[in-house]
Amino acid sequence: MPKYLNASDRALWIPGIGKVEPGGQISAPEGFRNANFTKVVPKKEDPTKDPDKKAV
Amino acid sequence: MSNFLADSSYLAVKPQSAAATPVIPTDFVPLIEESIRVNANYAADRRMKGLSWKSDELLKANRTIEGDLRVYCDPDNLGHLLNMAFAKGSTTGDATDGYTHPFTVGDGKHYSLEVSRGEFATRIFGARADRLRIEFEENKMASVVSIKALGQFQAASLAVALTGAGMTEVVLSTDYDLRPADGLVVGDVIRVGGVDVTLTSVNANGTTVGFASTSITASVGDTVYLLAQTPSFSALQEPFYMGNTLVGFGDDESAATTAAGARATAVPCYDLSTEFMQNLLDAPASGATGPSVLLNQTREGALELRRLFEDPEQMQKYLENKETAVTLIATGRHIKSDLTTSELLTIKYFRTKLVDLEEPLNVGEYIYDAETREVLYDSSEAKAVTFALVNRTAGGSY
Repeated sequence: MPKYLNASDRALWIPGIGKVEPGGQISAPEGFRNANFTKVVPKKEDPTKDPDKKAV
Repeated sequence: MSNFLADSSYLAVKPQSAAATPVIPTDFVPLIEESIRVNANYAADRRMKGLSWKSDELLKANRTIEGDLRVYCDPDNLGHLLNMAFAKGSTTGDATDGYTHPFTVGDGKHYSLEVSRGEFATRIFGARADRLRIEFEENKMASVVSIKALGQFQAASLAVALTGAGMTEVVLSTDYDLRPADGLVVGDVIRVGGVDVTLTSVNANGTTVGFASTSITASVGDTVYLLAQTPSFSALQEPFYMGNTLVGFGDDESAATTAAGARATAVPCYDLSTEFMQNLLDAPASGATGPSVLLNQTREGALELRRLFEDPEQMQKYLENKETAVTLIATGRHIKSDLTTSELLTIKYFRTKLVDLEEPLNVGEYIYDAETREVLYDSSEAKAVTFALVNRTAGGSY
């Protein structure tokens, strides 16, 4: 499930999910929409920084 | 098709920086009832067309957008209700001691409101409180706010078909209004052709909204609607209670406030309600099918209460048209950890007079003074009523 970050300055309580502190993240189903939250976009891995992977 | 229980609905609010510029509401208020609606004021087309039936068409008159919101008055959401009706002064205080928000008679802010019905949302913008009624419902302070608004967006239809891959904009039909997209905001999510898209632009022409390239197939006339948010509550607060409210009477505001400061000097009231009317004029004008502006007309207020009859003093004041100042202080939860500050609502009526007084006799019942007080302007103090609200919400939210 995608993650969302509480971008507001207040702790928020979401029905069915619970309390989220400011800056805290939640996992919510696709379709979660709330103007106090922003979707967290996963960072792409940099293969050159992974010791187990060698750049080709 | 799905059906929806109202219990999952929400009211979200946020003050606007300009009267006709909507924003996405972010403060969610637990609703009890809502009845805001668009009055298109349709009327039968009565032109002579050779019909033996009343009419074959409805025509639009000037549109109004109005209705009531009913919520419990908790210390934080009450700030929004007051902010829609009155002029807010500078907030003082901090998170530790609580924030104090003063309100005086003046223009309230315009708000964007959002009410959900199932997965759909109605966006109301340019909303202000026309009437604010505060009453107690089985000990709990509740408020009925009568709203008037400049516009709304809930649903529209496609004016131009969407034909598959690479769609980046929707053009809305102008059957409702020449500017059907008014009310939408960048960041809103609309559903069109069964696909949800997030708006990246709202064109100044009032008909077109843009989004990132998406594959959508939809026909002219297909419904386009605004999707509801998932509600988030900053706190599910208790309302103010009648049991923690003191009412003081006095010859002037100072005496009334002193009397309201302690249970021993306050007057026990067995029922209490007050209302303030802004008497907003939702003025139609050329260039707008709905109200073009919400204009304040002469304001007024009333205070109704019942208290046990003890002596003929109130009757004497009623008959002789004597003035009384009244102060209402409702105390909520403690804010500071050492219990020295609390959530607080103070309403000061600087000059009231009994416009109606009844002391009815009913067998088996105590005799009550049933008072209806007109809230008057106090020329010596140059004010009629003031409010002070202490809560946990910083002033920036209002």
